[in-house]
Amino acid sequence: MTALGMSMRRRDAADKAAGRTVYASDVIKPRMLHGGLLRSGVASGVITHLDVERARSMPGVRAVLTADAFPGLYGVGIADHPWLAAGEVRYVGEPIVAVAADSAMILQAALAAIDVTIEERTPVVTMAEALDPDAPILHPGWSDYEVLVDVDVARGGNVAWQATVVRGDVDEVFARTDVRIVESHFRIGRQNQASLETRACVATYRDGRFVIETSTQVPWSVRNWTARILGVDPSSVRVIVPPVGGGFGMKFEVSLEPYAAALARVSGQPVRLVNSRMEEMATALCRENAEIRLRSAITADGRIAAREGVVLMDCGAYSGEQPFLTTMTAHTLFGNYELGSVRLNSQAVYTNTAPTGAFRACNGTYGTFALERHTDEICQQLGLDPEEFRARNVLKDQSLGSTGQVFSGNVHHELLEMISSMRPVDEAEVPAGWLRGRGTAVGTWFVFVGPSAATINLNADGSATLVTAGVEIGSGSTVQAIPQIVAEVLGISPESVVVMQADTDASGYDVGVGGGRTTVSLGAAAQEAALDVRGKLLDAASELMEVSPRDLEVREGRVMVVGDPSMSRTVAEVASHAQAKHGPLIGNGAFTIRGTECLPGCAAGHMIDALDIPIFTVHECEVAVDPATGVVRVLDYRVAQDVGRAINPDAIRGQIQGGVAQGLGYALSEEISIDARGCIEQRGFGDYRLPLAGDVPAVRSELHEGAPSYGPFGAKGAGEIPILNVAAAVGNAIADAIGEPISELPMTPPRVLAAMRGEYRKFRLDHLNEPWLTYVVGDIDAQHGPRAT
Amino acid sequence: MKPELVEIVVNDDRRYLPCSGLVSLAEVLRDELQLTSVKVGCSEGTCGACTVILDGEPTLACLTPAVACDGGSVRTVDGPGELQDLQCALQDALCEADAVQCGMCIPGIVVLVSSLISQGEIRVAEDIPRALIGSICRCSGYSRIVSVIEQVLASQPPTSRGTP
Ligand code: FES
Ligand code: FES
Repeated sequence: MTALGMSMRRRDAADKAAGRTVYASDVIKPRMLHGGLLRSGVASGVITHLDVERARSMPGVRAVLTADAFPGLYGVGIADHPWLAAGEVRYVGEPIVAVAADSAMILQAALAAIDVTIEERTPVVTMAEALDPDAPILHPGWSDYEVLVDVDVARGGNVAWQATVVRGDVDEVFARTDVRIVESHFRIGRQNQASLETRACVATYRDGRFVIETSTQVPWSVRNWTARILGVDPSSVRVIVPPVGGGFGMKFEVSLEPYAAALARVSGQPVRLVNSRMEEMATALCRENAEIRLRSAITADGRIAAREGVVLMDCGAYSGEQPFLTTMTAHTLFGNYELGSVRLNSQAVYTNTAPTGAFRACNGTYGTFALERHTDEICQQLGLDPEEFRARNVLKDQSLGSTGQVFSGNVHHELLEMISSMRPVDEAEVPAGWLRGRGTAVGTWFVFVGPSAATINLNADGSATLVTAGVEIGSGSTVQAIPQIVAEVLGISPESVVVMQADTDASGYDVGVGGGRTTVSLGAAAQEAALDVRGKLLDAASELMEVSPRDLEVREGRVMVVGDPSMSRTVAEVASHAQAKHGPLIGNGAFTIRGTECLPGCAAGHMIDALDIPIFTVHECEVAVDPATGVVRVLDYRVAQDVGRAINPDAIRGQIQGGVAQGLGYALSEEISIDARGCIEQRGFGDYRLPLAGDVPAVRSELHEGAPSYGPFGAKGAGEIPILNVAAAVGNAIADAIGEPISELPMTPPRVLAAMRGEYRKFRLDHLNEPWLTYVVGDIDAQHGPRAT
Repeated sequence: MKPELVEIVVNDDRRYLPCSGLVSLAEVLRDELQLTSVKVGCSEGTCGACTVILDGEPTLACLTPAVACDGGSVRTVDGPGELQDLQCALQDALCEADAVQCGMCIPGIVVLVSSLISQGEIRVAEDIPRALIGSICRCSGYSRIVSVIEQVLASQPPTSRGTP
């Protein structure tokens, strides 16, 4: 029996259900102190006075730290983020002082005893304000910041990063008389990851090194950035990751760890920091709010002759992940379809709001929403059939993507066929007077491949221990797909493969768990390590059995002669023979991105010019809308998803159900509003409305196998993409139901009612109405060089 | 502030616990007794992760001041007691259905649902979404959790489903 394709159960489920699993937020250590942060209450201002002496002298207060303890600037694309505010504060919730005390109560008293005066300035709250030529510049020293990646980037003023795509001559196409032009604008709100476990960590300082147990998706980034922020050697930081209580991208960056580490060193005691839900509401690295303009020139035969876009992405006060994410609009908002000429400008814009970040499928979610609403609007305005339009224009084998990469396979086509065969036979009942609609959405996403390392110890008892920096964030990859991959190669049962919890002292470098990369990158490294150790196992068996290794195979826990299973030894026998004779059996594997070509000159300011392993998906749903209240009910939800190879089908379907649920929250109810003072108005789950059990239907899904992927056994990432199309499918279904467009997320009842009144028919964002070139920072021709057409 | 000693029977053990001010039952259980099965997702009574049984009733431990439990009896998911069979049935079925992802919400849901089933508050499948209105799961999208509850409900002898 093969370990692939079986829906193996997870070994960690029983302890999780029994409450025995110890998350970072549960770790308790002898003499452990409670750490906490004094945070700014204003969005923009100058710290004119800061006195921590009274707090420091309070009994039970063990450490009080200010900005000078954190000399390094953090960033993903640009090092622009001081870890404690020095001189200036730039968002509500920005940490100013870090404190460790004997108890939570003393900690609160100490934080209250800190004397700080901030001279408040008028904050830059919206992107429209930030791009106003007279706007205050959030980072007057922006040009001195270090750019951390090897990319030529145009930036300046409040534009932290610009990524552009230029292909062909868009102006010429738009001026043609044989095309019709459709323009749409979209406004997108933030979404909070709201993992049930908040960010949490415990740090100790011993033997001259920092040991940090933390709830993170990126142990190696935490190690390296903690060191850089504190100004110490990276090898002096060790990061261990207990099971993580959900992350969804929020834990893809360093967060509380440098504070805990520094406080532990100063106090000489372990220090725990756990964000409260209120802190998470104020400072989570939300999916960013965004504003989009999209224009398309459509030919008489229903082809897209040109497409032009401007995307503003709010990175908040510090750029974080957004410089990277400006890359992804080219592949999502400008993905899915074959395009003639192209120009797209995506900018990360600084505002005096909490920094935003990565959240499951990131800006792909709203890129797909805008693109697929735009697609339906094109069809509606030009009298085209959306099903035919999609079938005609989706990426096919040998199609060019927006940056000129060549796609292979006809996966979108096959998914569209799968989804049409999944339509319900009977209509679900709805209350009298409610309006019904159906929405379809196509999506393209990718696997965030990158370096991963793996080591396998094949033990003398026939079991295998896999050492990687893989974190169990709940998706099950480290207890399902990855053991299954290793087991398949080694011919043993997946139950006898143990994946060690991530520990940067034990495992090699890894980019982290997220971006749908765990099964692919870590899985591929694990597969290579397994192949390495398998070769050694066969050599040892050949010696023991006096048969050439070429004539041996491993199955069902036995090394056997091909064609003669009666000649066999157990893996344990062979492994213990090898251990006694030559030493333990160890295999190593390493993996990274292979790289995919795009057309030269198309993309500028991009960290990824082409998608290495694209993933495709199609969603469809039926909704009912109450015309009196604007309430939307999802009646049926269907997903056809390209998975490459389904290593654990049940686990994938679990990811689909969960991803769709988060998508429904994004589409319908999870609203974040920011007031004029730069304050996020939602304080907790009382006013931030997450989906509940009654809101989410059981999602029906079909898995598409066989599309090309260089992941292990042809697998692709399956956990991130399920959220990608949800807002798009629901948005199209609502528009279908009410017979009017809707162009904002989330589609809360008041917005649905506004849509019913026709308020999105000519929806325009004033600050996005200028000619495309107006938005370009720097010289576009110089940035793109000699251009392909 | 001087802590006062509060007497609480926790999972059948009589405990004398130092409690200052309005410190919550969740904090005392987690920090003093290391009962970290009591998860804290919000501390504001809005997620259900901290649900315990206080004097027979499902209770949000994060909102309950520990001093208010003086003389009371608390059961967590760890404890033995009359709900144990139901809890085990739910836990086994959750594992079997691959319904557990990050797991943070699960102990609270197990405690709540087993108590509501035994009290007759969840009698038919239609009762489940309302019963889970205070339980947030951010990972799973609920449907497997809901079908597990339906399944356990169906396997209950009618007598244990409470009286109408
Ligand atoms: S922690 Fe008590 S309800 Fe959320
Ligand atoms: S499994 Fe993660 S919150 Fe429910």
